[in-house]
Amino acid sequence: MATFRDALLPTISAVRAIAGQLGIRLHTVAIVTGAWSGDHTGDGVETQAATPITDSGAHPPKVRWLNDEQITVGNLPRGTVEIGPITPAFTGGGTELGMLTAEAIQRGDTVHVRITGPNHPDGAMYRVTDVQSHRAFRYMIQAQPVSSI
Amino acid sequence: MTQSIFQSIGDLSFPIAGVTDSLAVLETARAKIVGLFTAAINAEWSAAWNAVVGTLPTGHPFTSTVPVQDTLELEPTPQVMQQRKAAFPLLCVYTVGEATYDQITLQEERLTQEWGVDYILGPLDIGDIRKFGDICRGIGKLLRVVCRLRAHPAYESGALQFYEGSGNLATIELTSQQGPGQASFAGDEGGTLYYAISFKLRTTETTADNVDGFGNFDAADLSVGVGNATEIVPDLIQADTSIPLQRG
Repeated sequence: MATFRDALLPTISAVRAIAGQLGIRLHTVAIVTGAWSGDHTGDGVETQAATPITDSGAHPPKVRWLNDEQITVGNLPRGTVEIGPITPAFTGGGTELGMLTAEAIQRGDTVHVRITGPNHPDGAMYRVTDVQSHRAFRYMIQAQPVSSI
Repeated sequence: MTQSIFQSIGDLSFPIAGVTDSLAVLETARAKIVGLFTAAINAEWSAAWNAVVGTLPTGHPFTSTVPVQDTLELEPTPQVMQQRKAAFPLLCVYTVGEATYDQITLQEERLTQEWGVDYILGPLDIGDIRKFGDICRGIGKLLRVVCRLRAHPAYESGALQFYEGSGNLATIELTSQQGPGQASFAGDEGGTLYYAISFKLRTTETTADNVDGFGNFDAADLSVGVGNATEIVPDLIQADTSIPLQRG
């Protein structure tokens, strides 16, 4: 039986996509997993799989670099970024929580967030430091930079 | 001609060879330590571990595990753990602290290196600590003896380790341990607590000639003359290590 939340999520996803339709979501975001052919992480050939995080119409979520005050108060490293709100999965759209936490990857595989846009024209890898899932209508990701690609 | 010093220290031999896709293959000692320790722990503790695992409720994280389920040749910092999916129990082996170089003979140099060895059971509750926690000190006792023996029957059919081609360590010794207890990853003091024990390992490596850089020694001639600038006198001493030709 569909709940109030189930009924509302498609509308919320469509509303969140408006900013993307207006062209003010300048950065795209993807969860990138890596599997290695060798015995250890980093050995052999890496096979990457990238899954974009999007709302209705394939529009990206908001990407916001934390300001100096937030970084200082939160005792966070420079470059820490907050991604979201991301609409939870619903019939026909949204994002599974397990995709954000990379539940399906195997032992030794890697997981990163790749942000591409004006700040990172060639894309940059971030490690996921926190996935907030306690809100009914949104997930949030906090990530910190690892390297440029 | 190869431009190289043709020397080795530990298992690192100049000129460098054998690298394909990762420089990690040059650190054979670390790979041998991880392999030997993992095999020894799993061989010695699996029966006891499985007996406890068999009593666990369905869905427990340790279901279908062995005493070392995962290994990591890096320090388990939050940065590493957030990028790589780990399984528990996790055995980590990595270099730590300040290594020292010194000269032990006129010809020989020595590198003394400290290592960290962490055995991390995971975020255990009080019941699981009672069930699994006592493996930690037992692992320390096992590894101390394995280092002394330099071998375990479960690893490479009991072949002796840490000789040339298998890590090449002059000495390897488990020197101390901290824990077991609740610990957080370095730099993540406010994060999840994991039940773990941490060991210190000390190894030494020494230098040697790389014989690939030197030709075969066939023979040597020695002549000691007694003449001076104004007269010619036959050499006083003549020596020849090669076999004289038989003539006529």
